[in-house]
Amino acid sequence: MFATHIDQAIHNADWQQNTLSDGAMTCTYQEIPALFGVIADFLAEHQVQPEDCIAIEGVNSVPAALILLYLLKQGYSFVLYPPMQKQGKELAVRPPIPDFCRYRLIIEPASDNTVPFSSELLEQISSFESNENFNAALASQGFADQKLYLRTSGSMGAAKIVVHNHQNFVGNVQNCIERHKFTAQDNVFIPVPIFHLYGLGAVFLPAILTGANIRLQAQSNILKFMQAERSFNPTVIFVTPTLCEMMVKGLRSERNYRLVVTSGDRIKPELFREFDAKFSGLVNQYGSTEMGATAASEPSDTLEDRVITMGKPMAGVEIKIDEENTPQDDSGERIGELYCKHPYGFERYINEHGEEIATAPEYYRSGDLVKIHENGDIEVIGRADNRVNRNGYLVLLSDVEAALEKMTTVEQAIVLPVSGDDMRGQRIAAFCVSDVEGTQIRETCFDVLPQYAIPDEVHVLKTLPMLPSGKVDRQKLTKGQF
Amino acid sequence: MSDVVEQLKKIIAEKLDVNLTYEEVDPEVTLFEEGLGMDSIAVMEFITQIENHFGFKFAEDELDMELFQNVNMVADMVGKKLA
Repeated sequence: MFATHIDQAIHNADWQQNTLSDGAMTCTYQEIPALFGVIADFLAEHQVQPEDCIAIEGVNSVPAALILLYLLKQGYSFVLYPPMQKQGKELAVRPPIPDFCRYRLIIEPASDNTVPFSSELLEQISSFESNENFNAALASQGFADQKLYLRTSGSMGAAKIVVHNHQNFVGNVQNCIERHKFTAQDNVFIPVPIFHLYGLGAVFLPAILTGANIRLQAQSNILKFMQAERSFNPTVIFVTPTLCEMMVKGLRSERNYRLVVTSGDRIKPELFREFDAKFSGLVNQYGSTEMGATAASEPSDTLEDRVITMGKPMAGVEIKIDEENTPQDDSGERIGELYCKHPYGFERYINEHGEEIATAPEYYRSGDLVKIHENGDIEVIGRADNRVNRNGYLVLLSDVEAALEKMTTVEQAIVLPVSGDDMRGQRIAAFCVSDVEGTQIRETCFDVLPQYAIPDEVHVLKTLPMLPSGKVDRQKLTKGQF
Repeated sequence: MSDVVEQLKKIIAEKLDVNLTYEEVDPEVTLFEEGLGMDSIAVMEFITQIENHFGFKFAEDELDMELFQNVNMVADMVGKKLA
């Protein structure tokens, strides 16, 4: 599993002097084995046993990254939690951890940057809590058998825990190495959270296993991001659409990146083109908590393909679309919900008590409405469940979004079903990023949409609420939390 | 100089989505979490609004944490650029 891969990476003579840095702390690959020793002592001090599953939350920092790496190398099972986000000025309340975890470990940023990597530092930045709901009986049921647990960041519905095993996760990481062609010559800049499947599986681990120079960035502050970008001189960056937009606004001169990967929500074509013209190398990656990385474009693909599509499936991934009952788009091409069979996908869903909700089906139902291009590229049209019946017409909410975004006054739009029916059927609401009033946007809708597709409500927001994955938090919008 | 501070306070209160009134904008405190509570998007918007308002562009190395510590520091830099 990970042990061999990580051992090879940290002992490879070709990149011993390459570095892992977070701005405040830097270590070379050569130093990592000794630092692992410090982590081993730290875990022993806290009586963590290999059969203990840990719920771990952390920031993008060298200590947190090395702890993750060590846990993987030793085959520990853990549940990954991105750093808590602020709700207003207050930290949100942490949800309870699953009953099969003995401990919760929280790793905070270092407050004193002069303390070297030591057990003293690890004690300063981390807190261990025992889980009062820990169910010891679960320990013997394979819950600590080299598993990686992730809470679904699904933007609709209740959270589930997605179970991966380390062996498959290695395959997922290797697929990303192959598709994105990571090498020890790369300077890989990571502002996306590594305590998240995208940041961990698509960039941090691929970069470590190939010996790249790595700069981790806690995505707290755009000015720090830009300073780090200037001093690190990256060849590869993993971003979200929001970050793409800020880079276009904030970076004043051109760059020539080898690769910039964006994931999460679709990025607007104009922004994509502007970014790519200024900085080059931009590609979309498509994935899910259940499947991990599923498809990605390559910088050598044509600009048009990169703008519109998610590229081709990763090695070994088989896809099919469910064309039944799916509407045709304007061009008459068949579109349908994407199903994928992933050799390195998840095992099953469980709940917080360790009870099974469902096992992974052979073909995972993505919930995304896609069009498969002739060359095999996947174009995501919208969410398959974002179809509502209004006045007897099937309305694709993604179509309404596209119509809104065509308006010069609307920068970004999300359209969602909201509670209640009216004369037209299921009510729908539009959430727009715009400088004009909602009423004005709604008036313009009458010129560009059939009456049955006009949103019942138009809300104007300064920004859309986001999930750590970079996707819009639709649940928050539906609940009116914006 | 104090005039620039006032104009920046006005930009923050009127143009940014930070829920602060003109009176609440303390030019001494940090723009970020512990102070005015701007997130990355708000800071980027602040930069754009300053540029539009005063009619200049910041150089890339002026978009720096040291120079954007608080409203007074930003006013200082803006003042120098206008001089």
